[in-house]
Amino acid sequence: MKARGLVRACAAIRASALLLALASGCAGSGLRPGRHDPLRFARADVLAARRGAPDLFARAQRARADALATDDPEARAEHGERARAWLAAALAETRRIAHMRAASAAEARVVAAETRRAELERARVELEREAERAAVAAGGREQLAHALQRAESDALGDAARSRGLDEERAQAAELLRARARLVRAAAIALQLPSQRAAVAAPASSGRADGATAHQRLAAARAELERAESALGEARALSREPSAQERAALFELARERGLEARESSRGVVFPLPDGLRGARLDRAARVWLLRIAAVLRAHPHGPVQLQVAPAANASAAERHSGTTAGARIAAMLAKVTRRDRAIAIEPSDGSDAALVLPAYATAAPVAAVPPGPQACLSAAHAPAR
Amino acid sequence: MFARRLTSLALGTVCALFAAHVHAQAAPIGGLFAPAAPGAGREPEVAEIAALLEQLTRHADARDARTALARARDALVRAREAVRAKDQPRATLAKQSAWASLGLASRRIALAAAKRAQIVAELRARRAEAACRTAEQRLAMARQADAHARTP
Repeated sequence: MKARGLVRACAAIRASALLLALASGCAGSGLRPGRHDPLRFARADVLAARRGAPDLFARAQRARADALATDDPEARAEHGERARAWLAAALAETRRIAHMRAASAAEARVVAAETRRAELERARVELEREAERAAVAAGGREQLAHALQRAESDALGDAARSRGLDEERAQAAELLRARARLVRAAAIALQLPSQRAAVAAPASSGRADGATAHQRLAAARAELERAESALGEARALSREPSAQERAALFELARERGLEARESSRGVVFPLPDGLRGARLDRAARVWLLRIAAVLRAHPHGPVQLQVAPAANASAAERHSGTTAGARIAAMLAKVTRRDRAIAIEPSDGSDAALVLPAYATAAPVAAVPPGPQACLSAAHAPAR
Repeated sequence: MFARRLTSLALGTVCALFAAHVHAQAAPIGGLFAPAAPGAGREPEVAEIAALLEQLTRHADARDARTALARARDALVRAREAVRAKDQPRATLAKQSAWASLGLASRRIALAAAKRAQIVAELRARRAEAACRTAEQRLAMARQADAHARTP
């Protein structure tokens, strides 16, 4: 080991000495370093050539050693020229390698920039497609909302006032049937048994049987209701609503023009004022039709009606509130699943509202125990 | 005929060896003009030198190495004269000198090609980066438009 170390040290010393000798010209050779001396190499050139192209530099060293070894001036000049040629070749090679490295780095930049550009283009195209889809969906939502309004008007007996709108009804019926098909497909995708999905399917196409536009629209509306019930049935197969179902609840509410907001108690639908009176106005009847769609498609948990007066209310107020609550519960019982609990809760000071507690972001309970006030189950309500 | 084949075989081997060496030293070197160099301890033949000189003179970048090629040509003339005069030591010296000049010429030519490759790559990189910036701007505009469309 010691001998090897000694050999290495000697080699290093020899190399350094040679380097110094080359750099300083012809030290010890008897040759005088001159301006045109072929054996005088610049120090910077020597260092660069040795680092960049050691094989060519070795040739230059050998040629120089040959020049130093000979006494013939002509031979020395030949060897010197050869040494300078190899040194220049080594320097050219060093520069070539540097250029090639710079070119490789530039090529790497090209690849990185092109990859990045492709990613950006992909993101932009995706964004534009998404915007197109959103625009189409918005247009579709608007058309559907219009169709639903037409169907609601007919369902509420406004048909007599809107005669001569058969073309509009036909379009609305088409839209509602298309929507029903989508809802049925969603129900099937949620593992609804095929025989149940078949129940939701339309009885007939509605066009060929000679029905009037009004009847066709009513049939399409009924078809959509059946599809919504089927979707609710499919969703009920899971124990609690998923995040997607919560989002779908808000989407449906928005689509039907219902005000819905999220609170710690659940999803809150404010009740229209007309619902509390003995005789329902048109807005209240429209609200009932719309909330029925929401309750059909979103079956989880009970329905809470916050209409009962607070404990400090007068006896007359309490009586009025309880009566109104029972009446609204009875109306809701007609449009919701028979086994779904409808609880009448005291109002917490805010406006009367219908609450779906199972759809709270952190759902407190799967089923709410009967409240302090009356609890009316749909099972006890008149059949739908 | 045989001598020409032998020459081309030798040249091919030398080029391959040199290319492998340079590749190991500075990979990647795609498209490098591979200069020839005689193997260690082997003296180049006059025909070998003449063939390589001819090849390099015909190269598109030969003017980058015209001085080295002229020196190689002079050395080749000297080598031929020495061979004719049967002066072996002078012939060897001249051949070695010619070979060194050819080595320098080939590397000058390769350097010219490398410079050109770097310029082209740099231009491509700048163009690709400009395209990337344009794509960034277009995406930013698309995002802005999307946000604007989503604002009620």
